[in-house]
Amino acid sequence: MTLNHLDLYLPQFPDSQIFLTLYTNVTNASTIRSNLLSGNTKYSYAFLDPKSIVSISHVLAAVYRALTERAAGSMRTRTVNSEIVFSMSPSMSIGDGLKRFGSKDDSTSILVVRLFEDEDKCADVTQVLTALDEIVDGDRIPISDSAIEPLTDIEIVRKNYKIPKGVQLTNREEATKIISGALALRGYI
Amino acid sequence: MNDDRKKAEDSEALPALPKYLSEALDLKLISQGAEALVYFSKAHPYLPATLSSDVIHNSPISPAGYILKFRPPKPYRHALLDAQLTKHRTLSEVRSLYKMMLAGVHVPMFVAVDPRQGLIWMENIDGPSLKKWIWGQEEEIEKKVSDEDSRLTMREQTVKPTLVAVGHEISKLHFMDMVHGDLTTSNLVLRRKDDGSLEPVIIDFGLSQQSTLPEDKAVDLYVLERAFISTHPMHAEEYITWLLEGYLAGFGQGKKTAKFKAREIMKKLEAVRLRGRKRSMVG
Repeated sequence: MTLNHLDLYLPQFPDSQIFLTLYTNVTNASTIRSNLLSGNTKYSYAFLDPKSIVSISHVLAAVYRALTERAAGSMRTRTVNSEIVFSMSPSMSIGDGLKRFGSKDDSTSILVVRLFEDEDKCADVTQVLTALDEIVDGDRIPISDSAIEPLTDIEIVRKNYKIPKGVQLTNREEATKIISGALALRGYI
Repeated sequence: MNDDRKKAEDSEALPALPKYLSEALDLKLISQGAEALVYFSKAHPYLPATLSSDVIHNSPISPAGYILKFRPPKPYRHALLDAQLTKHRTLSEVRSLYKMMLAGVHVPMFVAVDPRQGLIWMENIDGPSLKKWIWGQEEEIEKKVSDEDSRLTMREQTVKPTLVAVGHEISKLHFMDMVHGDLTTSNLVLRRKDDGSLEPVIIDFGLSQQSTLPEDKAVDLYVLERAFISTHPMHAEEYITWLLEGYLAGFGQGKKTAKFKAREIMKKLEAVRLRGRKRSMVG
């Protein structure tokens, strides 16, 4: 088993262990989605569509916002996983956010976020990855900004975040700044 | 009753950061104003140092660390009103910061916000304030040469280009119809760029607001003039001339309506100089 995930803690939330993994050549995206919709508890992950992700920092900005909302007791959605997907969105519409930023029926790559907290503390990394590999039919590849880059569709990003034509998004660092700001200010502008 | 008063006094003595922050992060208090406490943090709020830079090479990382600005709850205000004011002011500051960042004005990068706790995370700017930098330059020039003529020449070589750049930066702000509200020589910071040159950065948007009135922009400039007069009394007039030179040259960057707008602001500035910052309420 290759360990090509990311495993981290945010300083403000020492009780939440965050796992990030990236899959390409995914063939069962529609099965994943129908299980999510039916509320299968085995699927307590946040499945994101890399097409509208510009960097890992972008994803972590959403995780941070979701955790802050939960700490304040003001989550908009039912679970922290759906809150992470919703937090990617710059708009207040929950359905819209989940549709645009969650994985879709025809997604061929998926970025997975998993939180481990009190009761379900992660004991064994290989066990976690095995469980995930069983759910997602695809190739788990080493997650990094360079791996995300070719999966992004900048035009979809531009549309989802309503970024005017004049603003350049080719520089990923600049794009991350602009987009992380937009999602951090969701509902406040 | 006594207990209550004691509690209030304690919290006034040391407005406490939320525990989850003070325990998790190594924060250094660097400034304390009436409105907010400013902390320095080496750590980013959501990019832990354990992540290798190869993996997250597209992250906007600040090598100079981060600033955490905290508006503590005010015990003398009604709790409900206090919460509303804190949220409102935090958000209004962040909105301005983000808007200016999008417009390409040099401001600290906005990182994260928690409006309910009154917390703003932004980039720390590595460099001296304009005030300190000018003091340093003046001292150096005084040491090097003794006659006023050659001192002026040296000031023209070093201080002038910086002040022209500062004026240009402020003009970008005003052209976007953003008024800073507290433009002083300490709220202008000179960032050291990789090539060693200095780039003016405008900080602290706590009192900023959107305004299309030439009057408000003139007051902004007037406040800065007063700051120059009190921190650099010897050459204030000369410095202001250079700054306005950069301001007028930069305003609107040749856009059609810009010249007219700039002229209106200068006219107002004359009027504000005569009467002071506050508008007369008579008549």
